[in-house]
Amino acid sequence: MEITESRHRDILVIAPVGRLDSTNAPIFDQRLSTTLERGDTAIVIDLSALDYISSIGLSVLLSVAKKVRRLEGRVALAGMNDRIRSVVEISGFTRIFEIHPTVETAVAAT
Amino acid sequence: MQITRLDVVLAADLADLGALMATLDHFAGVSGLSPDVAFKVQLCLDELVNNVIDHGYAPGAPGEIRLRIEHHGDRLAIEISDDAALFDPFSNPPPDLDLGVDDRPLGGLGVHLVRTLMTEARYAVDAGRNHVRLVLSLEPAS
Repeated sequence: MEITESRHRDILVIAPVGRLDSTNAPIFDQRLSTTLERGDTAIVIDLSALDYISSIGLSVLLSVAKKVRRLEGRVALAGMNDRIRSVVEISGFTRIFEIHPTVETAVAAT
Repeated sequence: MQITRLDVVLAADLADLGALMATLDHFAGVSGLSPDVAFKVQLCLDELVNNVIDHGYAPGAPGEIRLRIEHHGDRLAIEISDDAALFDPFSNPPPDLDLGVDDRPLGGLGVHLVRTLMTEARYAVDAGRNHVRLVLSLEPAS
């Protein structure tokens, strides 16, 4: 799967493209683990290029939230379309994540 | 009233899910389903079929999962039947969404999504097979 990264000051913006399903979610999980291991603990996950997410993709997001909390870092979700946002809300993740309409607002909120 | 129907027989193999999703996309197009409805159908079938393959069959064991989707004007009726170990996916309690991040377990969200996104979700055993029946009421524009 395609995953893009960019850096805004000390914040890493990481964007999965397409689908976070049982095929792709493990690849994104591995990338996030690598990101944390190299010391990037201020992360904005840009979901603006994401078309689809299933519970396996949601588990990857929850897993990174747990790890970032242990590392006393920060993770925010940004740029969700309405369908992705509805699934994130049904899953109760609005209580767990900072959620921003765009990457720009997520980066500016630090 | 025009009825559009899709019948699919799947092997119990996660590698077949990509082809199923493409088939569902095609059905949504032919049947005139909105992108929101197509997304819900894909997600719910993805969750339920994944669960059956992951938990219902021994690793590598053969299996047969049958799907039927019928579009009757203002409603979609979906039936999934399989020959896996008998199990009611709706028997587990819903997840506690008020827990903090440290206490939230990984997993357990798939069936919660199905129950929330569909209008009806029921389980039955028929002729020794698991049957899940879903109904999604459609907005008039769909």
